[in-house]
Amino acid sequence: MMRENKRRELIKSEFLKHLKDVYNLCLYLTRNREDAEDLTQETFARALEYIDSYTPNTNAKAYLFRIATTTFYNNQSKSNTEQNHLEFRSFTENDGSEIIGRDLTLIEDEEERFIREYSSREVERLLLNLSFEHRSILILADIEEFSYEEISKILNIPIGTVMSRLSRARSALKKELLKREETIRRESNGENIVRLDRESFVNNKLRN
Amino acid sequence: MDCREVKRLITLYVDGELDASENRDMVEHISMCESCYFAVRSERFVKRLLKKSLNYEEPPLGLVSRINDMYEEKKSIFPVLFRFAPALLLVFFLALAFYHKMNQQRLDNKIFRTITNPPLSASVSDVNKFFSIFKNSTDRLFINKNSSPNIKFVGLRYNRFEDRDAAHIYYNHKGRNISVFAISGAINDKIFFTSLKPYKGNSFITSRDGKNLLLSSDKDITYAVAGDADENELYEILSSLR
Repeated sequence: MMRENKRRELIKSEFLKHLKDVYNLCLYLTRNREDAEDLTQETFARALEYIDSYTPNTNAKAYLFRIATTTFYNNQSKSNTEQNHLEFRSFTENDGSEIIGRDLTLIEDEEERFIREYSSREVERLLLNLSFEHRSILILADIEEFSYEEISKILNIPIGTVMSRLSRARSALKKELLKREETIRRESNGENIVRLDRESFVNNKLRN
Repeated sequence: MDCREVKRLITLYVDGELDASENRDMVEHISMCESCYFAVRSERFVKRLLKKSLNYEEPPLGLVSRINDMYEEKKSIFPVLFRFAPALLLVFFLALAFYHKMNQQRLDNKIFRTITNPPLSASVSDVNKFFSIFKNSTDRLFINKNSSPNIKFVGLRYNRFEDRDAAHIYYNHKGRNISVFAISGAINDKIFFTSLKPYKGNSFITSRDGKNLLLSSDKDITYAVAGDADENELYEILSSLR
């Protein structure tokens, strides 16, 4: 009995270590803070409810992510409305982060420089414009860097589907990037050298 | 590897999911094919953009504390009590049994000790007291006409036992010393005499250190007869005294 309790305590502390990651996944899934909090709480409650089905030290994060995505997907199917697919409010406060990374002189690598051109908020916005399937797989593969096998377990889809969905998700994000560049170009009349650079980069590289 | 196959494997390549030989073919192809090279860069760019630009934010404190509370083991007193309930019950019953045993042993031990170690002499006042208290039964006690010719009265001494009047009377039976301890009133609470086994009628018998003790109670007087004799002999003595 004592051993069982100790085991449960170990699993609990393992789960709690991933609270931040789970919460952020939930933020990108739900696209608003209130729902993200609810989803995070529901995820941890379910993890606790089925604590005995988890084997300690076997990728707790993937386990929790699986619960979070499944719960989110089920909730979505229940309400049957991906609410306001394109109308959402960015959950990042406008804290001036948009100007971070504008000093381009120190950055040699063109790609690196281009990445720094994007604020966290902009990228977040681009990502949030994508569908649930696309944004969840991009978070798992590109931010969390799970392997295809792990992703296939988390999302409960075959590895082949992971690959094709990821490829389509990246294409969708590229489209969003191009849309954004298009808007900037129209707004700025091409006066800014940096923007011209970026434009040519986008045209050359992203369109391939 | 041709361009079509490279384009098909780009995602896997960027995610490091290709095996060593596929990877080598891939690198070989993109080092020569500009179109595929840009395709790879474009794919990798998206991956890196997400990784580098997106910052995870801290979860709200309210949420953190709610989840921590949920995961906190309920430190209720009841589960602990329930867990130890069998042990506590056992200890309780053992203590009760021990207390009971001690109580039980208290009286019969005392009687046994008193009767097997009687005071050796009796003064005149002792005898007077004895007669005043056991007046009704004195005849029966030692001048019983029907008493066995084998029983010889030796002496007596007034005593007290458990706040009651009592007396030691000594006899000689077939050359062996027998002492009778007479206590005023009945001792009805047999629960205090566990080591005493029912013998005959109102009598109980026990034995310790080679000596037997026969206890018999009626409403006026309780007799404890002890000595080297066996239980049948003690009962015979007791009957002749009554």
